[in-house]
Amino acid sequence: MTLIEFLSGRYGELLLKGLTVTLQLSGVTLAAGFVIGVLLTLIRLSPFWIVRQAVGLLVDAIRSVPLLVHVIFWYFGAPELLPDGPRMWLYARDVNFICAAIAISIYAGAFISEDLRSGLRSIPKGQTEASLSLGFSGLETFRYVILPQAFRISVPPLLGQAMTITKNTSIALMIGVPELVYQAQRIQDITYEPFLPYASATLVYLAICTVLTLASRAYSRTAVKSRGAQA
Amino acid sequence: MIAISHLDKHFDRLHVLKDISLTVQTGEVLVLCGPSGSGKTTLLRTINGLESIDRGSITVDGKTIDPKTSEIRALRQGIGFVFQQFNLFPHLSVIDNITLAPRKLKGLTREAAEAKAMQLLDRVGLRDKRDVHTDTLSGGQQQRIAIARALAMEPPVLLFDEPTSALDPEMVGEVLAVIRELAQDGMTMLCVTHEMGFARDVASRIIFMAEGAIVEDTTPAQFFTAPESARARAFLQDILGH
Repeated sequence: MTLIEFLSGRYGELLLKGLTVTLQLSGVTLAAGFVIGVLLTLIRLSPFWIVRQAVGLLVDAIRSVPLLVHVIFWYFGAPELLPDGPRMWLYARDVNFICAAIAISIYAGAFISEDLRSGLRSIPKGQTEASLSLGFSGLETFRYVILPQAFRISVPPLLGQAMTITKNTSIALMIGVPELVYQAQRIQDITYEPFLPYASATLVYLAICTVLTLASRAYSRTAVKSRGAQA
Repeated sequence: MIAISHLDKHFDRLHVLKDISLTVQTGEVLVLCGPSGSGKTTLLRTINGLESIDRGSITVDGKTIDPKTSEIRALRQGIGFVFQQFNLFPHLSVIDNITLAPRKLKGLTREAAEAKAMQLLDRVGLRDKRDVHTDTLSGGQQQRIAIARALAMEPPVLLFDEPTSALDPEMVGEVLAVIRELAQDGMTMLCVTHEMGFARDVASRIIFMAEGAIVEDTTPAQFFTAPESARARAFLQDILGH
């Protein structure tokens, strides 16, 4: 069987279904992870030492635990802690997908907050001083001077996170989310032939990551050349 | 215009400013000089509240400078500050660097702010750089833009912290020329600098500092021909060469 024959038949359909789930899961976790990352970063700018330390520890803890353990916790552990009502609500829905999305979002959020924080830290102190000297408040300085620069610096690492997240969604197969690798495994179970399904899945990941890599490169180039065009 | 009285400041155990008192009248141009570590930059930075003080008081136009109060924001709008490292905003074009503060803080429309900014660009001789990105400019050009940015808020006082120290030698002149013109227009200025030729020409007073204290407060003529203290004589000998 050639790759073309393989993909044009029923197996291609299964892989396409898997790809759809992978893209959905990636999209949801990327968006949620970004929101979580921004929130964690903002909390870490708190003037209170204890708050900064607590959130810093939390972020370190999240990053230190393997993603698989996160997924297992949110699937097997967390729902049991819920009261009956919400638990029933959850089980009536696509609980596998939801739990995987929560686990990966939190995991990604911790990494994204580190990227954003190092972006913020890389802005020289002189920028803040120049802004304060003009009469801006601390908040205005953050809004007009620090944040736009930190965001520009953070775009390439964030695209890198998008890549990592897309690949990481494959771990959701461990709790039965029918994403791309899950479907490849299923096809292998049917055909006893591992090469074509896994090769196809591999090519798909490669394609997605290539697009993201190219986007990151293009951004870095234009950022250097024509940042002055907009403001 | 500026009145500093019995100012003391420590960095941890280091006593960086010792009982500083200084009065500056409107239209005066003060040059602060002295060996490195003498506290001149720190003193300059206390005047717009970038550094806090331990004791004493600073008033500008009769209003007390205290970085811990929220009034400091309004007061800083009236005190222009030019940094050694320029500190232009790299995410903004030249014109937006200059118009950001007048637009956001004074509520000027973009048109009004840009019209004013163009006058300032004319004044510093960089009209054609209006839409350029700041990191394509030379150091001297960046510093002239930084001066225009400070002037855009129309401050009655300008503070310069070693404005030419980070520049290649061939660019020092263009920046000093701009500052010299401001002095001729009657702007009140305090300038920390090692450019002694500039100090001699432009300053109305020379403040010589050493080890956190003001050692001499005198006219340029007096300072350069007959400095009173041994410290000042040694300093001049070092800096003017032999």
